[in-house]
Amino acid sequence: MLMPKRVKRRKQHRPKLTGTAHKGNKVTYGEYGLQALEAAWITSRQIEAARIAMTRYIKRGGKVWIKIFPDRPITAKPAETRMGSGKGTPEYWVAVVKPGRVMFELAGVPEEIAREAMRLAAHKLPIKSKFVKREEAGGEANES
Amino acid sequence: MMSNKLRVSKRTAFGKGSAKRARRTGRVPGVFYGGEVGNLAIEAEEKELQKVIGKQGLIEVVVEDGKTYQGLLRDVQYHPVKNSIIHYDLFQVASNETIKVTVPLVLEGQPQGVAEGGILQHGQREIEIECLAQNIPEKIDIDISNMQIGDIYKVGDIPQLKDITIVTDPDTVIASIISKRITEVEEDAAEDGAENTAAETPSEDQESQA
Repeated sequence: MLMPKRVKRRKQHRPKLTGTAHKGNKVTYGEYGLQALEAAWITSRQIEAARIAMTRYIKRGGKVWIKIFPDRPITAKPAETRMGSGKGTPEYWVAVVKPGRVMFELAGVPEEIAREAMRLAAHKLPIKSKFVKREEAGGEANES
Repeated sequence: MMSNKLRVSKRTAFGKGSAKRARRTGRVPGVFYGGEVGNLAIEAEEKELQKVIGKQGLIEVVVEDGKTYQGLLRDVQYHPVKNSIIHYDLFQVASNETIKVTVPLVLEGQPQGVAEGGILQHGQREIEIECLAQNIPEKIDIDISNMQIGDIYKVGDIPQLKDITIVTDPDTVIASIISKRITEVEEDAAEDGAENTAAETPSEDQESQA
């Protein structure tokens, strides 16, 4: 799973989910992309699950780009613990995704295969997303 | 080339609020500047703009007072989610003026290398050229049908174009055909790495470094 190699601070504040994606909202590397329509923390497990779903479907035919990286640590306290005694321990890593962000890109496969691969990947994510193409970033919305 | 026509009106209200109100009614705020125009705040119908944006080359800009200028779209801003046009920059040019513009590159033909099992990788998708405003091409076609596995098509390989000088670095890669085997090895390595790190939790990893 994706995670930073080393970090300067182990525990951070909880990331904000306000606003829209002003960067990374275009398909830049591949031909097709999966664009977020909602804001969420996407965990490294979700990213990995989506990647595996996509690569299995395209059977190593094309190339996949993951355009988000889970660089924010999320802490949690153990179950049945009384409040207090400081912040919990880091449990998992998330990528902060805002509406408009192109999360995955695909190239080297026909459009129908790319659409299906992205649909399968979208089912692994906790947000609504849509399939977008390079020429114009206005594809049809996928149910997710 | 002068088939693109855009009717614009002068904008009298400024700021975020009036811009939002205009967009709600289907009119997009923009700016028109350069040469004899100076600096003009304008707005235009979104439907007309959409038609003009899809094409390269000079645009005939008709201002509401009846004057007609020639312009080029310098910049277009889109909404990150809705993909609607938020704002645009029109730059006034004379047709006999030499200008630098970026033009899309279109790959034509099925490369031989792809038929043999290679993967086509697209590099630079547009190049910067210098030419007279009236000679701006809509696109530059590149024939890649003779490319084999391992071949690289660079900007320097583009045949001489009439009345056009290419500004982009000749070593910039436009397309390459890579063998499938290389990409498979990369993917295998990525999957192995994922399996190895799957057992690690972030807390363990971080504590070992602290």
